[in-house]
Amino acid sequence: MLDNYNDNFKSALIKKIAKNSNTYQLGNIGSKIYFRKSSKSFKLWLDFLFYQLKEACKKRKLVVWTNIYTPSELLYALGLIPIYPELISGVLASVGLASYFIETAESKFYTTDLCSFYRVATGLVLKGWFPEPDLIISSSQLCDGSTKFFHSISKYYNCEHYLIDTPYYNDLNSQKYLAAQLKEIAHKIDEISGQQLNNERINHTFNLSNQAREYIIKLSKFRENIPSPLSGWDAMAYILYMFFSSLGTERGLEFYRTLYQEVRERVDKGIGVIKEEKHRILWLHQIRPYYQNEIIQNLKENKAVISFEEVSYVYWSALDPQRPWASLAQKMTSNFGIGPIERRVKTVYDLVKRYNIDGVIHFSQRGCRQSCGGAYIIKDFLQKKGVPMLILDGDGADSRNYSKAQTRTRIEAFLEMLS
Amino acid sequence: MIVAGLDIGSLTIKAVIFEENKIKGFTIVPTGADANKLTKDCLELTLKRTGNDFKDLQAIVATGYGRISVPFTDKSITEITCHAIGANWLNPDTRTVIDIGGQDSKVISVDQDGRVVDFVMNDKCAAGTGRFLEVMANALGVKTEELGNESLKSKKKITISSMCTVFAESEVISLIAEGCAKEDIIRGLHEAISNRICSMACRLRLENTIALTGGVAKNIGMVHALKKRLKAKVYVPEEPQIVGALGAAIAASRILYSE
Ligand SMILES: Nc1ncnc2c1ncn2[C@@H]1O[C@H](COP(=O)(O)OP(=O)(O)OP(=O)(O)O)[C@@H](O)[C@H]1O
Ligand code: SF4
Ligand SMILES: [Mg+2]
Repeated sequence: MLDNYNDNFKSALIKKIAKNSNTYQLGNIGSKIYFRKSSKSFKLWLDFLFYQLKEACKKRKLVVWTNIYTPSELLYALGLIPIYPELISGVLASVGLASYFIETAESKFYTTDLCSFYRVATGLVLKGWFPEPDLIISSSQLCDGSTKFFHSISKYYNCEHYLIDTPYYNDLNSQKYLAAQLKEIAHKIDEISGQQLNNERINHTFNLSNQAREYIIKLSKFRENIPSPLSGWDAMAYILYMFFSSLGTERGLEFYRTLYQEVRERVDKGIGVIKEEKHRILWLHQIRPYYQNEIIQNLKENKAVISFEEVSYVYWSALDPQRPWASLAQKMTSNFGIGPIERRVKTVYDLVKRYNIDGVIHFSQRGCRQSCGGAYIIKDFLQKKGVPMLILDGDGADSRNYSKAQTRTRIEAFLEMLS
Repeated sequence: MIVAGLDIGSLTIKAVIFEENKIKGFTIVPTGADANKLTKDCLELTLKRTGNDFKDLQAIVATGYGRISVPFTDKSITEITCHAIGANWLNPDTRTVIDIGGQDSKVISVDQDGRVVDFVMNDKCAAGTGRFLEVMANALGVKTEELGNESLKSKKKITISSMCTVFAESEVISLIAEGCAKEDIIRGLHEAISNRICSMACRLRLENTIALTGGVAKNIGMVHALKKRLKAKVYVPEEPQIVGALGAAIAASRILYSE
């Protein structure tokens, strides 16, 4: 699998790892996690990841650094190669390489209170590990750390940063405001690339995204099944990567078609993630800890399974190639995470009912304002409905903030409470 | 029917022997490197005191941080659930448990049957726990057990602003250098911890009666500070440190009943 890796990147990686025996050890553990699992969809994800890095290194197309709530369809329609520093930070954490970059960022005065995903990403930039951006397009949606990060990175690389300012309300005015921004960005990129964005490309990209969306919706339906056929732990790892970065590509569609078949097979055969399913858990906030940790084992030992997670919820309608800007704008404002917290509360409660959830775990990432702010309100609401919720404080990428025993006690006590 | 509850905490190991709904005996020893052996010794010492033998035990439940690694137990249950069971057995009016141990502080909401309804725990650091108080006692040259009575002598209010164990220690040292009275500093520390714990407790619906458990509830100064802040009906068990082990023992007897 590593052959698909871009050579420059690979040799740089090996060189860096070789310099530090600790990271080498961690990298070893990481690669075991990687290759132990060998589902076809997992391999397709790896292919996609390495393919994109390789393409970005070739520099035949414009390389754009972006974030997860910037609609990927926009980027692919414009013929750009996107790089997702947040997502790659998660991948690096899962192979045990995050601390190296975190320390790099901290040595340059980045505070430990900053969300660790951005500390990893900053370290990556400072170490020059990734294909440089020709431009940056990011959305202000949900994550406020991201806007500041991309802003400073644009200064560092001396490249343009187009910030898509996402409004608070989900209404027509907001959509118009957003559509105008998206259109303007498209024109600017046409100017830079010297190409013309045509309807055909929009059609093609949107169709691919819509087809993948259909599969994701069917997958979500499968996940109502008891026993749960797909673990939220995977859904928040490589599947999440594809969810945000692959919609609008052939590879993305193939990935979801394959995943759909895999899950379908499990449903048909009645195979669950765990043998005996006692507690069905809904996981809140987009992420989970990616470094080596025991959370999923703790859940499994206590017969609990993550049946669904809010990040996988398809909140947008199919894209309409006839009205590309309005349609993408609508996708953005449909996100239940923006606007008044009642939107998120309602969606969460709907998911609780739909997936037969026994308990909800909200992962509160250190340094993340958007996720932690609303947690208490959600908990209060759910409790009144008789649904227990655990607010699990933790860190997604910085393993120094993880305590095995303390985390275990929280999870087990919560599950004992559900029993 | 004789059962045992073991609470292998971060600082101390507690064993309780429970027979026919009565506490027959208990032991508290410090945790050390070889927790398994110490736990076994602690249990054997208790058995000796109650005049029983290991073979007499019909069920053993372990709780606390070391609960998983002890080999000779029937089941392990978290200390959150055990403190709730123990406090409910001691005082059925308990609706909230505040357990302040060596490394953790926990606030637990319980129902009339002693079941956990909700809980919160301190974040990763030692601020507001027994370990914190031990470090401060050391800086002040006072025994941990004497902190409570010392603080009751205080006549002047001092506010401690740092809650990081390292910063608070240096704050305490500079207060000593400024000539502040020990008892005032200690009271300041108790109040600082109590504020921190109460703000954590307020995340839950605090209901009467509130039981204080864990080793820190033996500190009379802490109990006073908490009572003042909580303005609630507070119950302190005779031996608050063994409530977790007691809960584990009760859970052990329930295993037998359900069999
Ligand atoms: N007589 C006493 N007076 C004052 N404080 C005491 C006394 N006895 C114990 N303590 C305090 O109790 C603390 C230990 O409490 P406890 O035995 O409940 O902790 P633990 O269960 O080992 O820890 P944890 O539950 O956090 O793992 C000590 O740090 C000490 O500060
Ligand atoms: S965890 Fe929060 S702060 Fe960090 S990247 Fe995600 S949304 Fe942003
Ligand atoms: Mg304890």
